[in-house]
Amino acid sequence: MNRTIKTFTFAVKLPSRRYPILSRAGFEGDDYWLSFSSAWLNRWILPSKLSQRRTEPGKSLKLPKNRPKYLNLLRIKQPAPAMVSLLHRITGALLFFPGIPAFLCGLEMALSSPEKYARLQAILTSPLAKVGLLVSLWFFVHHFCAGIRFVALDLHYGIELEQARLTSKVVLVAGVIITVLIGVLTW
Amino acid sequence: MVKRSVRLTTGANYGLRDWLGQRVTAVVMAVFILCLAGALLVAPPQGYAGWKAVFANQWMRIAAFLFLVSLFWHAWIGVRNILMDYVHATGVRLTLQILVILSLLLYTVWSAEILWSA
Repeated sequence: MNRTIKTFTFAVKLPSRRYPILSRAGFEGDDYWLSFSSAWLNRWILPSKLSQRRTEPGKSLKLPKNRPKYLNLLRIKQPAPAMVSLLHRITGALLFFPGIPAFLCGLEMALSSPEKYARLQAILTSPLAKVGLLVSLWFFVHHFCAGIRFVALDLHYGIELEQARLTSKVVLVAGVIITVLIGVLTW
Repeated sequence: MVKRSVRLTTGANYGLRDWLGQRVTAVVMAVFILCLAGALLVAPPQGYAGWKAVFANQWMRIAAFLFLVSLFWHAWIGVRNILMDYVHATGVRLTLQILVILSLLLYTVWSAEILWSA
């Protein structure tokens, strides 16, 4: 299950008020996106794992300089706020493409003529399309709820660790519940 | 010697404008969506004629167009951030960014056409 990767970039959102020094290390402007690169992993994560290796007493652990990096992406567990942030990014990218063009296509069909409206209705009522619609709806609802949370964090509401963890769980659950509710109301 | 304590500023300084723009467009979209959802819940339009009547209203067209322009602006900032974080080859990133800008401009024209020819 090990996967070798050459470069790995992972970004976490940090409230700039709590971590002013860390956030200065991030991108200019996006002042609380702190990027961790493979260099960071190499410097901090991997040595701490390797130092747990048993060494003979009196002998220092010598490591080759260009050692390979192994990182099992499936075994990395992220806390709930990180999941919300990551999902916000993934859903945002998917809402941009294919989300926006698909939505505009649908809007055009719904408004241009009765024949096209009927065809759109026929397409959207097929079971496969309904599943697709529900998944897209969840993408949108999650992005919406997580976005409200991020704006609240920017306004310094709920930036304490406990609150931030709680609201991120609320966002994850609310996304699913609202999606199901809209699905039930529509069909 | 007097030690000056000057905060070092670097970069192009467009970060704050983009950061704020993303949030302002998000709020504009959220308000529109919540109003629309409320209206749809109270009186859902029936069939083609119903939807056509909703978008025949000039104010609805303007509101929907403002929503869509906010959406495209918001999407540009988000996609630009994603590309800056993950695409490190300058040529590839520039090409992708140009494609994104062009597609969003196309969507803007397309949505105006959809709304005002309806």
